[in-house]
Amino acid sequence: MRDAAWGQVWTLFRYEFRSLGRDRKTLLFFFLVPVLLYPSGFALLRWATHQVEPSRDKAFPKIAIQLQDPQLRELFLSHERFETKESENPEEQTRSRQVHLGLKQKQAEPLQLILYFDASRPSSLQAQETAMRILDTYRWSRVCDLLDGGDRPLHSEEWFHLKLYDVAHPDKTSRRVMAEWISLAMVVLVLATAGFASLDLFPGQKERGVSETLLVHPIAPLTLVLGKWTVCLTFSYFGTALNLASLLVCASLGLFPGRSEPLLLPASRIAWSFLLLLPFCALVNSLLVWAASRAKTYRAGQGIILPACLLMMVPLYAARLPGVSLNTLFCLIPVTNVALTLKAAFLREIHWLSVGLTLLSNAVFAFLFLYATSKTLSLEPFLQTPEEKHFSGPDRSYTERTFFFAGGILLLHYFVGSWIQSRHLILGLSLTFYGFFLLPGVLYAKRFGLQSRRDLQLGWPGWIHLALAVGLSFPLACLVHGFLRLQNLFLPMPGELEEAFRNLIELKDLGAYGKFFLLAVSPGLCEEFFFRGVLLSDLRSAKGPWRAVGWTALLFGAGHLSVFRLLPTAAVGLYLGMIAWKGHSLWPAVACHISFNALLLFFPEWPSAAASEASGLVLCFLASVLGLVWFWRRGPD
Amino acid sequence: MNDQEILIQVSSLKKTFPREAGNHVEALKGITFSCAKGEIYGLLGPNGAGKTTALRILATLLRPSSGKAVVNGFDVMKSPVSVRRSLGFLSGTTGLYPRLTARETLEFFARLFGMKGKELTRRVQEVIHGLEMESFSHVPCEKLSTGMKQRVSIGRTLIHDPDVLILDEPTTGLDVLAAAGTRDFIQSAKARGKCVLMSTHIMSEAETLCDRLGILHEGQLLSEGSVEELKEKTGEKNLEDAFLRCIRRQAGKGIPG
Repeated sequence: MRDAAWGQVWTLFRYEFRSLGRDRKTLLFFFLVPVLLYPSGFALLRWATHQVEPSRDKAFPKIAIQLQDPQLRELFLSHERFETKESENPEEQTRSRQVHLGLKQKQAEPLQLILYFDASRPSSLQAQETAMRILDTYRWSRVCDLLDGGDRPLHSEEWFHLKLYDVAHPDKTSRRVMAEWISLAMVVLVLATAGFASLDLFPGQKERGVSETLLVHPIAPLTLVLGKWTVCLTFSYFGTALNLASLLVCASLGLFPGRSEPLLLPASRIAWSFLLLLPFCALVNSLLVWAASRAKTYRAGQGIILPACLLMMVPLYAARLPGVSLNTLFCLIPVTNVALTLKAAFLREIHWLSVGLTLLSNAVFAFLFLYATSKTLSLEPFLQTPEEKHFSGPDRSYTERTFFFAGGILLLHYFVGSWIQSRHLILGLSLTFYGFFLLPGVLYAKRFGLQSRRDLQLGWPGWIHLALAVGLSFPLACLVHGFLRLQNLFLPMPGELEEAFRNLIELKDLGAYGKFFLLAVSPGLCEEFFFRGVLLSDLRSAKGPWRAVGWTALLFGAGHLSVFRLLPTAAVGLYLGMIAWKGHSLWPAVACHISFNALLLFFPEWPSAAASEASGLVLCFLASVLGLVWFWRRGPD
Repeated sequence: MNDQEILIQVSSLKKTFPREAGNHVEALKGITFSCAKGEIYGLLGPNGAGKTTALRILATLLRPSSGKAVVNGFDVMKSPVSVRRSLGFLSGTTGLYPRLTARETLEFFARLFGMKGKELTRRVQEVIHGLEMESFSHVPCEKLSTGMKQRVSIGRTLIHDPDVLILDEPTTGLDVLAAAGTRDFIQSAKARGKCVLMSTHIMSEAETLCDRLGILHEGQLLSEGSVEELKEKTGEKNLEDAFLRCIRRQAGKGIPG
């Protein structure tokens, strides 16, 4: 902070905040949404929920049981007035309203039962009466049995204990609901307010030329960053606090949908929320300020901020996973630590050490991001006029665009493609190659004006190039075999994965031609177009050819969705990238990829046999290097 | 010209920008010029000649690759903050806060220069009065006309009363009235002993305003001198022909006849 002049920070804060506060969108977000939208929206939702609730309760009441006593279990399972199911956690099911009642046996001798009900639901109270009648029947039948035996006391209290537990007890409910929801609401609100402010103050001002005006005044970069960050911090803190307060008022008035009773909100817990909001806002704002400072235009800024916000939701959701609670490790993970501290505060499980570590971790991360932002402001590309852009080097936003696109496609491939493949292999594979690689690649190229010859390198290379690329697939396959053997020493491939490969290669539903098309031609064509066509072209213009080839190789490895395949496929990607680059055409890489896959598909024993001998591996290495050198020296035909 | 009067001194200034695959483009190829107190020096050149790059280096927005640039005795590389304190920079790309009024804008930038209290109020009032901004000083900048905005920008440039003014194509995009107002401001700055360095590609403006001109093309300073000296050097009757002669001579294409 040595470089920061606090008087200038204060001046920047005053005037920037005034300027931002006069924006109509700001006023709308600050006042209209919390004051009008939440109460009216919740009231409407509550009304709609009430409309739906009676019709839902017309069916038989549901009860979740966890009973060891066979007689009692049979009594409930066979009862005609209940829809009974056995459950591991009747309490949670009653609380989450999956069932109307829950019944749990805690102990056999004496028999201890807990009946969970929800006093806020009339249907649950009605079901409770029926359940009590069943339990009475059971008790009297057991009393009669015991009388017949003649050796047990008559008083049922000595062997039968029933505890009634209202899962909707106001205090417990309030604490649970708030512990669950307040961190989520807080994070979403902070991201929304901070994102808006940082976009306006960085790429927005760059577009308007205000950043340039500021930078010709005697202000140190760190001072400038601190001035703007304090604006973002104040804006997002008060914006979030106002929205949060409105949500809490709605909750205390009983306006939350699906809850007829108001939530009890103790002042100390609310104070915790607003206190923890501050370090969290500091962290989020510093991250978003850093992200926004890297964008050249408002639109590019939106393209950076949105994924950054989505990324920050990951540690938030991690905090909501069952079994995750505040400990020393989680205290150091940003976002997760605040969410867990809030949860602990509402569940009265707070520890001062955890709070201290959370605050410290947030402060350290916030400072690092602010320092990085001040360094970004000191870089020349931060301000570049269109005239200078003519001379400029790598365009950072261009690179980010490529990575976000690639990342999005790989996520789609990972979640959707794998899911479909697990249900229908052929359909899933076809959809992955053509729907997730080729089609998005074509659309991306069209959207950003990538030219087929110049950028995507779709020009014809000449027959010699193609023939050599096909020939090189054999030494390449041998080297991959050798590499896998080496890798297996350190990272053995699991049996299931090998089995999955065998199943894939055998694919009984398809003939030889079908397999050749689906597992050799399709990946060769679609993956090469995506990785060595679109991504390599985009990254080359931004990062230079070497780094572009490296990045596409890594993405290619990651695209095979397995840590065991990452390095071998990345190595193949590196080789194919160099062939595409130095061959000045995509087609040699396509040909090499197709023949490589075909070799592993139909003649896997050939490269395997060659790789088993050291001399074979050396020869293959030499052949692949010589082939590459030929591409290097020969260039395009 | 006395050495002590020189406020801008540029020596062998080079600037290269990186391009793809490790290549570079030389935007400035070692230019040398100087500008004294009470003088208006014009950098004249076509688009892409390197005018803006030179001015942005002097305004500390860019770092030179080699060479030296000194403003008011401060090296742009070693003391950028002191350089910024000494100069007022105005270009087509320096914008204003759209939602602040003209008066607030001036107050804001005056505070950034450390002014406060009565000194601040007096100086802001002086600038508003001097540039005839009273009628719109309370209006947000986004609602002002182009000419009014230009006056606010000029006010922002002058608020700390700098000794050096660097103006990058100050009249580009302005209507006739606003351009005339800007020219008046430049002449009045000269009359008050300011050192003014400006870039332009409008010949008439250069001829009217500048005491000396430097013709810049592809990063090289081809010729330097007063308008009359340039005409004499090239044997042309007007500045535009003299300018074209310099450029074409550089490209090895002399004007036929």
